[in-house]
Amino acid sequence: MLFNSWGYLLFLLLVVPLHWSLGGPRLRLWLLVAASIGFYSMWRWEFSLLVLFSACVDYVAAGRIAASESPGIRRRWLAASLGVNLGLLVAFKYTYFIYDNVRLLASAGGTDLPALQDLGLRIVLPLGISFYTFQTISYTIDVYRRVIPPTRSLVSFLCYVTFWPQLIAGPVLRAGEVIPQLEARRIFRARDLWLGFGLVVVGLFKKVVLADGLAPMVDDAFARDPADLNALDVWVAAFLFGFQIYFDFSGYSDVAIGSARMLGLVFPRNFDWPYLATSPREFWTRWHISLSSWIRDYLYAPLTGRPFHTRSVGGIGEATRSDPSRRHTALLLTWFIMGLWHGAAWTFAVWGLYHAALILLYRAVPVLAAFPERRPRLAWMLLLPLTMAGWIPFRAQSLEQALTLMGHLIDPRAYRIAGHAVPLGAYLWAGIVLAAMLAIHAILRRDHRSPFPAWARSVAATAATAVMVCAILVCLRAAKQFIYFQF
Amino acid sequence: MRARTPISWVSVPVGVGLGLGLLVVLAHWQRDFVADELGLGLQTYSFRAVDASGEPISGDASDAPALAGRLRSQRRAGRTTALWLGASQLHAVNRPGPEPRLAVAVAEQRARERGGDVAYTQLSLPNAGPLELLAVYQAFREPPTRPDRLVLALTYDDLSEIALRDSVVALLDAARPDLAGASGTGSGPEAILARARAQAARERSEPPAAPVERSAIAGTPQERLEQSLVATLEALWPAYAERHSLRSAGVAAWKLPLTSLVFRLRGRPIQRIDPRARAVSEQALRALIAQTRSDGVALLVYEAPHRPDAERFYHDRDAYDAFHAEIAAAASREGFAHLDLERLVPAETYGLTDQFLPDVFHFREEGHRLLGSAIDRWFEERGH
Repeated sequence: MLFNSWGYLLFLLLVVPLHWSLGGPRLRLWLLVAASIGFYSMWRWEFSLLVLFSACVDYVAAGRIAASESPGIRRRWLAASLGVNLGLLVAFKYTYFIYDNVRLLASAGGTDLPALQDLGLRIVLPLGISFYTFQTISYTIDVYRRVIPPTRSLVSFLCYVTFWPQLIAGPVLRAGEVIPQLEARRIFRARDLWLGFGLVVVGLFKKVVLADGLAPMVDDAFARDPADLNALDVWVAAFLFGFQIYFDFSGYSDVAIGSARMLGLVFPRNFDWPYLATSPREFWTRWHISLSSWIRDYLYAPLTGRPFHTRSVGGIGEATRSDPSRRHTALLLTWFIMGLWHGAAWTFAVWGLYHAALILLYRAVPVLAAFPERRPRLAWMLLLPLTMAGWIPFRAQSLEQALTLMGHLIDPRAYRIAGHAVPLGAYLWAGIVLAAMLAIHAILRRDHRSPFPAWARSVAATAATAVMVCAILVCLRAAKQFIYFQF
Repeated sequence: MRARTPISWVSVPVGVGLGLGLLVVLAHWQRDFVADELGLGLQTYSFRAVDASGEPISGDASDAPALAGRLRSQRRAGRTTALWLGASQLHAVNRPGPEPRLAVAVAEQRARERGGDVAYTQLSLPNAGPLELLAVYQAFREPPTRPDRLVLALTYDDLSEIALRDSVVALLDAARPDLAGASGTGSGPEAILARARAQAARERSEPPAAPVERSAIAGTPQERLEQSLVATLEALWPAYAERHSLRSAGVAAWKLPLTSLVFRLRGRPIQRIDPRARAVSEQALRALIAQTRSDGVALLVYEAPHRPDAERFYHDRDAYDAFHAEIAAAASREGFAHLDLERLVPAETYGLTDQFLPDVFHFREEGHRLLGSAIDRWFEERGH
């Protein structure tokens, strides 16, 4: 089910009151599992069985791991869990990608292989498989690492895996953060309910008004022949897509976190003004924090031998003291995998490696490394375009398009004022959104230092809610899915 | 420094309630806004004209049967029938008064008042180029609807329009069913229309070049749920049903001024007429001239008025002037009448486009009065 739909608002209207009307935590858990399966089945019910299968595998595997003191048995169960989860992920998400590359290599060698579609194979990517796979993997690894004990209650575990606010596109939370809250006797508080709903409103506004409002300009820019675009056009397209994906994904996260809050569950924030970061490392402590924290603890930490964390906060930006060459290799490998996790295409791998290269550059050049502390504003002005340029391969339809567009950015001849192909309205909107972001951040920061009177804050919040609700009602339509659904 | 005080949760339910109320108020305020009219320019609306007896004297392709009926009845009454074809200028009025009068109504009334025998009937289509005007003429060229005179309002920028819209295809199919499926070779009117007809059929059957936006929930149970919820809300909540118009009004009020600001800073972009489109249009115009001559229908071609103080609009004025010089030369060569009305209507009677730029083509009632009078004066001078 899409969040940006009347169906979802009706779903909340039914499930939240029903949840609070039930007395015990166990009944509530069953309700949440049933509601989550119903939520998922509004897309395709048969794939909810896959989610349940994946959850059951990890429930059993984690139980066996915890029950055994034998390192060999524990490793075997961990391998079984990882094998099943990653096997399903690879089968559903990467079969076409792998086969297409094999086909390409075979073709270079003079052998023509038929396309998978021609062989009658049609694979549907189950919604959210990348996200719930990461959740179930983290649970089994945490039990293996003895970070958490396995949960005895199957319904608690099912609820953790299938819990609808996080099922489709995260945040990717740890069992240790969610299951204790699910099992606790939560008390209804009007404050949680309404502030949670307020966050749902903010998230929907970001999605249906801002992200979907920018989408046509982005689609238009990336649909054009790259040869027609000059460098300024490419910058505008990159900035607009950077804003679109931010509003889209942080909007999704806000709705998810707000929906959980309406049920009395507190999830950590997933975005923290990422475009105000002054270094690549800082960016990844602000963007999709739960995912980058997951990558940090379950991929980067094992590769570098550094200690891991037990919570999905902090992102991947923390320094580590391991051997530099091992760190660099781990970094490249981590970001390569991170890129491919986002999508089964080389463009995503390029996006991942681009970020790895940025981090390495900042590590290697002392001036750049010191820049964020000494000259934070200049550091921001340098990093923002670098970050936005990184979105080009992410959005491009092919590697060729991505490389051509990025080539424009470093080609001095492409910097010509005349002959732009992207409409000037798009230039204007890119500037407006950037200026609005800085203005809102400045107001909120000022507000934090020297608070306005409580009544003024409440009036402003009320007015903002009213405007957002009205705009959502005008713009809401369930046609546009969230960008991260494809992952 | 004081600690930051949290926002009161009461702000959210109150804000939600106010947001719902705001939608109702805005929908009521914008209830007369018609998004489709925005294409004509701000506060420019389309109208149909009727004569003193209430009979329609103007319309679009869907009104062709009624207009044909008028041509028949006026012919039976012994009047000289004039069919007036053109683009949106003929049916659009900027900032209309309570009872706006189109140029055709002005001409009709003037003819009646002076005792002239001419009866005007107008059919106009937004951005109608010579090809569509040729197609429309087919619906009236067989007796008894064949007019005595054909008045053509020509404008240079509509030479780029070489597609037949569905309503014109329907009109053409009714008038010339033999053209559907015809091969369309040569430069005669039948061949030109057969090619255009075949192209329209191809475009209708082919998927559009741009990918159709498919709903992310297409084919899922949520799609059915969403459709029924939206339908129920629209039925029960009129303000919600108005959301599309409200959105368009919002765009007009907020987004377009910003875009126009850019245009003001760097000037209006000049469009280019594709030479192939121009060739097709000019061929259609030649065919229409030849066909009226063979039908014995006297032809009057006039340059549609444009805002006189604008040197640069959809195209450079020089391009308009050059085109109309060609038409004037053709008129004297081929013996049809030509009238230069390009600077007839003063600048102050024009409105604003949907991008808050000066509208160079649609004017207010005063412009219609001037245009209708000019056309009828031309007929008066020729004894009608």
